[in-house]
Amino acid sequence: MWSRFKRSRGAMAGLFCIALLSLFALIGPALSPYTYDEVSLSSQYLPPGAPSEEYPGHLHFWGTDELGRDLWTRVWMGTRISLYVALLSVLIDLTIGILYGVTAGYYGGAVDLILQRILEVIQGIPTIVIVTLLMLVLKPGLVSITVALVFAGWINLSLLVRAQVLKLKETEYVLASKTLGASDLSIIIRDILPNAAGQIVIMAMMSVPGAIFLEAYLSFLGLGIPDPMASLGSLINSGFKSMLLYPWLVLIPVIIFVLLVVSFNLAADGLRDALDVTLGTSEDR
Amino acid sequence: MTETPLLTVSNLKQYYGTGKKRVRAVEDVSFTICPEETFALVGESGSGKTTVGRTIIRILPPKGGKILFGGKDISGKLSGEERKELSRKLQMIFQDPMSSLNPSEKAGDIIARGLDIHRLYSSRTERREKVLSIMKEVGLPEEAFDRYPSQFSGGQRQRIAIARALIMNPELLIADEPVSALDVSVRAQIINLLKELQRKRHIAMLFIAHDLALVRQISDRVGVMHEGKLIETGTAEKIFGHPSQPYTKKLLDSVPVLYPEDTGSSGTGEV
Ligand SMILES: Nc1ncnc2c1ncn2[C@@H]1O[C@H](COP(=O)(O)OP(=O)(O)OP(=O)(O)O)[C@@H](O)[C@H]1O
Ligand SMILES: [Mg+2]
Repeated sequence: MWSRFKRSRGAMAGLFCIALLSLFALIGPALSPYTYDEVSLSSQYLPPGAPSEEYPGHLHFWGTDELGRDLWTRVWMGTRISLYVALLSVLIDLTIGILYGVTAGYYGGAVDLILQRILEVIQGIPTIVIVTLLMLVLKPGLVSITVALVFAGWINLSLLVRAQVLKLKETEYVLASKTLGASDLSIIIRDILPNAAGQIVIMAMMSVPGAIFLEAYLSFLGLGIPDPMASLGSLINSGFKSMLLYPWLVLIPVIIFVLLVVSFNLAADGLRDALDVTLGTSEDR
Repeated sequence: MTETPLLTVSNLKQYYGTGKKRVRAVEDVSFTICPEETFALVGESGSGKTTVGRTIIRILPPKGGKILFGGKDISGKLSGEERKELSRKLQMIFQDPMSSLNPSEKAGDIIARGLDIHRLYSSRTERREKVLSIMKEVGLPEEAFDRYPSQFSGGQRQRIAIARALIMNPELLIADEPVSALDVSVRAQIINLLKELQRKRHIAMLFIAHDLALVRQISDRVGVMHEGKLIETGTAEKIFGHPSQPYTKKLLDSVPVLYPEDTGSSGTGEV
């Protein structure tokens, strides 16, 4: 599988980009002397590459914002948040989404009926309502974003898994496994999930940009990451306000954001091709 | 034959759907199969042959009637244990070897599935050896172990399906049109392989087919199905020589009956 993945240039580029962005998210803030929330009223709106006033010999690689905070540091801190949200949404998709979808699809009947009704109820409540209600008990921040994702982020994937399971459980190779005495668990693990894996992975990967956007949206409403912490979404939002005068404040986080989203899409495509063994008819001969 | 039958099916019923849309696919079908015997089910498309096979192997629960296999009633609700036990003695080969093989597993793992389920080995090496020995028996090269189903020809795929069934050492094999999805040129090879394995391993076979010439060539007894009912059973000579039912006569007349020479070679490779 890995060898197939390696063959796809786009996928490798995507993976490389994700790795690079993750690396910088980890070490980027440490490469500058500033912290993400260090205010300096004497160095507002410095352009990229401007020398630092507090720390002689250091530069503000990507300039500063309206409070004189170092953008380089803030962007990489924001990337951390976006990556956390990405990882979280994939994990939630892969656990809750698959469990729910497999249970509904494989057992069918009354179980399916009940699970689908519950799902419709959850789906009927807008995420924003859930998050607002959460605010009554939780402070805005990562915890509330996490809870919002756990609550509703897995629904699309569970619907896809259910549809795939419904289709695959009627295949003759599942019947063949049954005649060999296979347990439900063994059929799900060996016959059904591997053949739905391509679809599941793409769907999980494709939910990543959505989750990152959800975080940005919540930040914009004041329900996400609170100032002075920053996410890519909140940086873009605040940079947008002064876009014409200080374009770097929006351009830089936008570039990182787009790189991140495109990389996830490329990697998702590559993974799909790698997992889809049925496509690889002649390559391995 | 005077032996005690291996399989006794009496008044078997099977329906699809419920209410107004109910299709009576099988009605009051009764027959027996003795050890090492080949019993063929013939009949036009939609007459219920596949349904009979799938009901006997309990992919579908019977809606009525009785199935005795090896003296045991297997027509009621089966526990997980009983199901497992049955799968050691009763196996099936499906019509289309493309859809009956999991496309994401290697041939070796597909064949070893039964061993995995019943834990019939104590080490990976033993597992591999058992699989390789059955692969040799069905005429698959050793390299086939690590290849995916999509990398085989139709005939080779059916050999994989046969190996998967035979690794359980079944007493009765249900073969549902095992060659009708295959290229004409490899049909004889697969049939000869089945016959040879049956003789060597003393397996009884329920052979479901369209091709009457083929049925005449390989079966001891034949049952003719029409609209869910078994309208006539008898030895192959009797059915083909002196059919008693008008429908059977019509069926025999509707196909140009060829008597292909037994192609002899047990066929370990594709042409
Ligand atoms: N899953 C199903 N749902 C509803 N009806 C079915 C289903 N499978 C088969 N039938 C119907 O049951 C009847 C018997 O079908 P069956 O597949 O057993 O026939 P067959 O003799 O095997 O035909 P063929 O030679 O085409 O394979 C047919 O009328 C068919 O339409
Ligand atoms: Mg059929």
